[in-house]
Amino acid sequence: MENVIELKNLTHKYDDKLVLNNLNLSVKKGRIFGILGKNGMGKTTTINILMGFLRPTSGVCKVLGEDSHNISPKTRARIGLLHEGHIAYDFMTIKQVEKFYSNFFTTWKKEYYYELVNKLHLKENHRISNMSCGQRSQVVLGLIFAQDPELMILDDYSMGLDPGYRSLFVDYLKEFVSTSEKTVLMTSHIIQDMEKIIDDAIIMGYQKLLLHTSLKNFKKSFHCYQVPKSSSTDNLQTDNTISNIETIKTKINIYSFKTISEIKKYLKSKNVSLETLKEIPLGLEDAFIGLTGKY
Amino acid sequence: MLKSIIYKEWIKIRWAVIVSFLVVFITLIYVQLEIRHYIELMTAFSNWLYIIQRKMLYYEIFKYFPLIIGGVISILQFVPEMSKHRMRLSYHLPISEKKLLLSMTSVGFSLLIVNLAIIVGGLVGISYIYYPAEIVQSLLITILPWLLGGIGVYFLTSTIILEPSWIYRIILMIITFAFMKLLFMESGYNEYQFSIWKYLLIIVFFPLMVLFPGHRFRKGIN
Amino acid sequence: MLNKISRYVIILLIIVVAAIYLPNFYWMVFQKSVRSPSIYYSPIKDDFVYRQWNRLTGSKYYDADGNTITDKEFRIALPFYYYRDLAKWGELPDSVKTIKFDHDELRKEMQMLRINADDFHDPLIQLWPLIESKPKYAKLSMPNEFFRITDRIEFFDPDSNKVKKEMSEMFTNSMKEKGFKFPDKFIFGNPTTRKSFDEGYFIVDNDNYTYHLKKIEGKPFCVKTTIPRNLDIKRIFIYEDTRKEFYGLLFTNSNDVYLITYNNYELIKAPLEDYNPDKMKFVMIADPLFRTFNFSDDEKSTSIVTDRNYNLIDKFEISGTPKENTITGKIAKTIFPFKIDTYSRNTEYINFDIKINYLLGLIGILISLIIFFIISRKKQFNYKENWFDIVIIALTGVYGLITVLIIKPGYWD
Repeated sequence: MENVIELKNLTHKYDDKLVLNNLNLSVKKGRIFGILGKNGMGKTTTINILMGFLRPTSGVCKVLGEDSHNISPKTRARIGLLHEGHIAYDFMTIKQVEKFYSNFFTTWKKEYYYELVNKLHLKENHRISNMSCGQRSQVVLGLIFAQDPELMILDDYSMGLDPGYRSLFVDYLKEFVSTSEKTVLMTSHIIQDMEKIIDDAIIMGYQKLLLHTSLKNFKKSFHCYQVPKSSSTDNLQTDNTISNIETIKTKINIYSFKTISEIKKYLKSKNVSLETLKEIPLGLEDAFIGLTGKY
Repeated sequence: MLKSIIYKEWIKIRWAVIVSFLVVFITLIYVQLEIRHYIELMTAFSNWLYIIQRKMLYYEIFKYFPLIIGGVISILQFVPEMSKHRMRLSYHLPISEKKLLLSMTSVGFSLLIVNLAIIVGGLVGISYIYYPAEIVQSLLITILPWLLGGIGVYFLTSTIILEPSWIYRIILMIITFAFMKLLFMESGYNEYQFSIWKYLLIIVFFPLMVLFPGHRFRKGIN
Repeated sequence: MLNKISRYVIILLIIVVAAIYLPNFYWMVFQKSVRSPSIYYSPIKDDFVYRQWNRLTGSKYYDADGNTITDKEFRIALPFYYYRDLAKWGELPDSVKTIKFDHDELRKEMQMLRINADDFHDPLIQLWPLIESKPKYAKLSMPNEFFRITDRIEFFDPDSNKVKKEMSEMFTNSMKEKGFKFPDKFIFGNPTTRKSFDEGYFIVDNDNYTYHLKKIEGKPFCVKTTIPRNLDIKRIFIYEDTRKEFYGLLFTNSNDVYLITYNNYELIKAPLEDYNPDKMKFVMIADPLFRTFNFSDDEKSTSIVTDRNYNLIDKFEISGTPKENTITGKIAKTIFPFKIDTYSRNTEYINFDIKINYLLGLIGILISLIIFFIISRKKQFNYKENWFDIVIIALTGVYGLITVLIIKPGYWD
């Protein structure tokens, strides 16, 4: 299957500050792909480059076969963008904004738009600026659906949405994608929602990729082990075995992709008492935080 | 596509355009009333004498109209696009950035020109009632730099708003102020008669100015 | 390509604005205020005295040899100008040379004309009021119409904004009778009622003959003057002065100045040298004994004195250093390879004149280029894509250098 998105040694600096360091990534057609990571890890930079609003310092970022910073108008028509904060032409009404966009796309599907927007029970001449964030997100999603793009890049779709609209958004997206061969790349802070929809994800850490896998896999293979704090635990450091260490008063949480037997062997070599070692069950969000760290 | 761009720009500026038509219209009536009032009060002869010898510009109330109209149209067109990075929506449309920006400014520019044409037409029409051709001609020569000022400000303001970096914006604001000042220095009529074409020669290139900020926005240069 | 051009449009604009404002800022900071001296001819000393004004020292007075004299000495040397002061001090002479001192006579004999360079460059709507030269009342009054000259003379009635047919025909016919060839080339007059009498207009016709046109009791009075047609007239200034010595001054494009003698239109050439009406201030003073012509610019002030028959008596010159030739001026020329002048006190028009500083400017450009190469070497400048930047610096020096460094190139891919 062809790669819809392909990053090769993607590097970006702001002045001298290195933000992306040789990022490599490819997204295959038909996949729903998530980019996760704490703030300040280059998530926004990556999205800006992918969307074509930032020219990378070096490396390659191909979207639908074209350099993202030089993407042709024709190819742009095949990409639907959802910008952070559900940006829309606020000064237009429901009807005006549809009329405006429809002329730009040969494959415009008006019915997709109204299917979503009609559920808001607003008049056609209702201005977008007078809508709640949730209502606006429906309009924006409707416009993207009507465009019927091959690739959708959705930046922080959950921002400002209450749980109702959030799940509505996810439901519609899932439904839309399932009926066609769409590729989606999305970011969000709401890990539970992502779990419902994402096939693969990357988790970005400081100047490196922490993980590139499916969320299911991640949840299954990532563990948290707890031992009491002692002088020997003070010497523990993150390495190939230990992804992260967290001290909570008298206890130490050790995050790792290793199985319990592997970790026991490892801790023994470090003279850590294994008597009270126990595995703590992790939700996806806990696992995410465990991997990326709280700070 | 062009139709859609015109449609969107029209939505943004239609009220301003209608209001400016009204204000221009009312001001034209005011100018005419003022001329009539003056003539009744001091005779037509002394009115002419004031205009010819004292260089009274009876249309001076319009001096900054083109500037204000040009600025307002530009602000209404581009501030909504640049606030919250809404311009990203426009730049992602399946049309080249250059075509997009030039079409957007063409819409505002055309409406500005219509507005200026009404001012010029109205003033010439009123003047022909009360004054001979020499005075009407001097009116045209004298307001030409003001009109060019309006056109210049339209493109400069658009450039400033479209520019993503605040440092560049401030530099461009200073340049705009300094350049505009040059077109409003007159103390009487016909003073730009021999130099206005040189100013025109510079302003002719202004429509291209909006492209560079667009390029900078697109490439994420700050 | 268009994006590149767009950047250069912005750069061009900044350079233009910089070339207009920066040299002015420079001079605002570094220029000391200098004014040209006022020179007078003293009938007491039979020599020149002058006054020099300076912001720091105020007025200072000198004799022709450059010795400082006091304010009082200066005034005593010029009894025709300062007779009131002299009378107060009890220093008033009974007579000066052959002239007996009489206040009323003196006042009648004095006349002073000032013409600045911008008087030659003043846009004027060519509509003129023709004042009645033999008014019914003591004072002059404005007429009810303006005239213009096309292929005839037309009188406009401001009330109706229409041509007065009868009057226009009457005047056109009268002028044609005298041989006036329409249309005109110039109309010169002094259309104000704040004068004691009116001498109408001097009009140059299409054949370069000068006509004198007045309105007397509502009727045209037109004279074909004897002013030669090959004079290449630049401007005539009319002065209705009670002395009635001359109608006014005639300036030619070869920078000669003539007086048009009253009644017979004979021309008397003023013995001036190196007078440039486009740049200099001009003052003519007539007193009971002499005629003084003063003209000056930043570079030089000249005073020429003649007797009452315009025979040269003496000449005096004070040269100043024009600001361009001072060290400050030379530095300015080196920094700024050119400047654009929009405002000048020598004209009422607003200009856009590019003044190039050739040799020193080239040095400045070279320095700018060197600075650019040093800076751009560190910043990995893309010469292939932005070679025109260097052309800009080579043409505009410091303006281009600053602008190109601020308005950085984009990514041209």
